[in-house]
Amino acid sequence: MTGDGDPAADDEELMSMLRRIAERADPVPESVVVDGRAALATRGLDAELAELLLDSAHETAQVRGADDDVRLLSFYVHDVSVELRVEYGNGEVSLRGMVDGATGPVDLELGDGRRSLPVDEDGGFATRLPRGAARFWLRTRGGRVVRTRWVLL
Amino acid sequence: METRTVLAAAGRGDQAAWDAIVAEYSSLLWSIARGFRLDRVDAADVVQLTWLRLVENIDRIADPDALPAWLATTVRRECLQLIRRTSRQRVVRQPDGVEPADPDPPVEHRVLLDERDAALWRMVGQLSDLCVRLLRVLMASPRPSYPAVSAALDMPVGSIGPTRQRCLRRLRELLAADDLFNGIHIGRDGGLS
Repeated sequence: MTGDGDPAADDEELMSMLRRIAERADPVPESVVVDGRAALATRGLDAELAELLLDSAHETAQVRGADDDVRLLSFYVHDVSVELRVEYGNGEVSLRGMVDGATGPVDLELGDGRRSLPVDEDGGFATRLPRGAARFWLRTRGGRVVRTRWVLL
Repeated sequence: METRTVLAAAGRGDQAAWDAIVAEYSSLLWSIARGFRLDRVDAADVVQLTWLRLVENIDRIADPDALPAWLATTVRRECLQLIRRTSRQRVVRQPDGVEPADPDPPVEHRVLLDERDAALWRMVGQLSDLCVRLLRVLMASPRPSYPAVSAALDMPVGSIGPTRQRCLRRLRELLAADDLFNGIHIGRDGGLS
């Protein structure tokens, strides 16, 4: 049999071959699986969610600004807002933010832990971080805890 | 165990249940990201973001049976967004049109593949974006369900079969034009050899 009678079976054969090659040529890296397992540690206290109002990375060419290398994100819930200005360079993320309606530091949560970012009297904060997933936690003046959803910075 | 049971256990913090979900769907997510031709670093980032989003929403997944499609949709959107963003940065940073080097070494340098396997793998990469996305997600292990594939490509379930057929036909044409595969029929009974 040369397999020339049944195109569907031939396609199956070719797909099996591709699947076999993919398992050797491009397997899921072990570190990706390990990080995935560790993601469960981010489960825990829930908090009021600040919605993403704007992400300039979503916008079309017509509404984008001239400076394409800067990404703007804006989160909002009731009386609190967070504006982020994100710049990418040299494999690193440079972040400047502004909060309104919150008190105390902003907590930046990354896949592998949290860091507390001091906020100046105008509501500004800044840091550098590696590329990857991040979310922000803050406390409103009324004492509520608010967080953003995870975004890829 | 049913997906519903596993999801509920993971939502209560059961690490073994969560690990089972990660084991089951990592290949699906990785295959989707790689099908979008993301490099390994970017692919790792979008896969991790997808897991974090699932943890974030684990109590809100209304239909556990739709979990694979939910994961596929989430990772597809992040891939598209990352591609839009990085292609723009590339334009800004490299006005002379120099593309950054692919951080991926050629596949045959990373692993020892049979010469023809390596050639076949390269030819898949020469197909249209749609074909690469579709064939790559179909290579996920375990095999993805059609709803998951549909979500990964934002394509109706009914279009998957015909598109797959068309992409494999195109791949056979590339093979036929390559001396390495001269006169070799890929079908039942023995594959390439």
